[in-house]
Amino acid sequence: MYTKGGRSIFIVDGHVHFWDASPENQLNRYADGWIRCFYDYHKNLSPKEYVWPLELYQKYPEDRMMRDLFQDGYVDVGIFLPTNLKDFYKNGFNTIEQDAVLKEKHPSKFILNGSFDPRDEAEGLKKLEADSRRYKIKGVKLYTAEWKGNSKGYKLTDPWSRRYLDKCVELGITNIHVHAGPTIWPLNKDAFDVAPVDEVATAYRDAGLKFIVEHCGLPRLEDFCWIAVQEPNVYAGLAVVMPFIHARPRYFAEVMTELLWWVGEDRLMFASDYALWSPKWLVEKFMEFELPDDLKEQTGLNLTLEGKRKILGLNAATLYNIPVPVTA
Amino acid sequence: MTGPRTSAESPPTESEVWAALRRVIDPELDRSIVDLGFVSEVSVSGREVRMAFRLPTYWCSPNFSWLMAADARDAILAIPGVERANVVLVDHHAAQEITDAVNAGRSFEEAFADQATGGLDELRRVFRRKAFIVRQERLLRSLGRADLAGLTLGALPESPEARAYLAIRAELGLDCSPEAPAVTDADGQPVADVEAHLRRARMTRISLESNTALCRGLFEERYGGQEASSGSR
Repeated sequence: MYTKGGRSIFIVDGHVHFWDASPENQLNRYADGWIRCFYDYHKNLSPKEYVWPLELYQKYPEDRMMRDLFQDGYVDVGIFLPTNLKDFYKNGFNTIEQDAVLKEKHPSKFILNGSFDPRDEAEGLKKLEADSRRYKIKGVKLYTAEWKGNSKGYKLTDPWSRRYLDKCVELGITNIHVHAGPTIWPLNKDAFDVAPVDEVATAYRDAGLKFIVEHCGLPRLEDFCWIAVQEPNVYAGLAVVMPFIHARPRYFAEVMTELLWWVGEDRLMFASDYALWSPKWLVEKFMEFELPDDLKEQTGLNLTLEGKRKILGLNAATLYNIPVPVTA
Repeated sequence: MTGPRTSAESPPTESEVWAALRRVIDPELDRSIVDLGFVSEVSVSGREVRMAFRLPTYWCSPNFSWLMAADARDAILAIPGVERANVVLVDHHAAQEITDAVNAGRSFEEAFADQATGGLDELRRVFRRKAFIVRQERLLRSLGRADLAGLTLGALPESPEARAYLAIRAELGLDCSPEAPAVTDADGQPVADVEAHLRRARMTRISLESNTALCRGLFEERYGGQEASSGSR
């Protein structure tokens, strides 16, 4: 809970990890390349005093995460989004099993999500059913650029992807978090293009599926916004956009303006992508943030306290049926 | 794209190589790979040229990385007096595959046969069209005038924004005559609703610019302070 001027703001961090990228867990050079790439994002966009040493960044203890989110970071509920990467890390990078350890200890603090990979075909469908039974998940995270043997990724529109989405409908898994990465099949096409989201969002709208596009399609913001305008069940996760607020404030303001214009404040969701960045400074700076006058004038838009409350917590609370205290 | 090569021509100089590489662009950012600092090494040995380049992340998309490597090779081979080019991508997840295949003159679809359904011409075209929209938006914003609907190319002022826009119009084969309308889509067709067109164009520009800012920041983290080297220095 963030409190200012006697008003409390309910905070849901829409994208958090409890990862293990320690050298002991690394299988190959891609594992090292992965965490070093994350670390460059962390260093480049964080305020200096929030930059961690690489060793801590590779693997952080439970108590550190609990403190950064819930004690220092104002977060009321964190949403786990697993990223398996089992071709890179022995036990995976951040799996539902790892996340479940914290969820069990702090049931009211976390939302646990699963994942699926259409290339696992019939076997994976059983795992998704088992995860649904065991963990009662309401959402999945899909990383379409995940490597698997010789395959460098998959498409949401593949026939097996559709079977998994059908299964999600059947199991009541309604929140589909999509993260586009640099390598998908086929490799000659733009991997960041979010057009496949358009197709499945239309196909599964009546079935009740919501598609949350992580880091709102960056680096293809324009394609994402264009899709979100047309598809009411498409949402923007603000991971990666949020830290611009410190390092590139003008771009943060411009990107937020575009998102408010095309997508609207009811479909934007705050996320730190912890441990990429820490929620404390993101929440503080966002609460202080105002749209610059020139952008307000050009667009007639404003980012009000009510808008911030939706973005920081209420929108995610609606998607995940999280009870919001009456004081917030 | 290889240029004429005869033994009568004098061997290339390093500055010729840098000038040629300056015209190679990062397709996603519409900016020269030299200006972005990506080129880390240029060396000339007789009629053989070696260049090395590096990118903002280990995971930069292999298709764009390929385009930069292949374009750099073509640019070097087009310099009079060059007989061999050796282009090296470093610190990248697909560095070896791309370096080996590009230097062997293989195509992307040959090199990634099991992962691709074709070549990169369509990808390149999509990003040149985005670049067209962004350059046009920058130009129109720099004009700061309300009546854009009847604006023709002949009425444009002499400015860096206008030059950049005219260059990409020519590159895309669009009408560059003074009577041609200035506000068109990437096919050269006049747009009916200029305001709606500009609003979308602004979003494309912000996407490209925020991506550029992110890429430059990540590049700075990886290589900050490291100057490009050359064989003669």
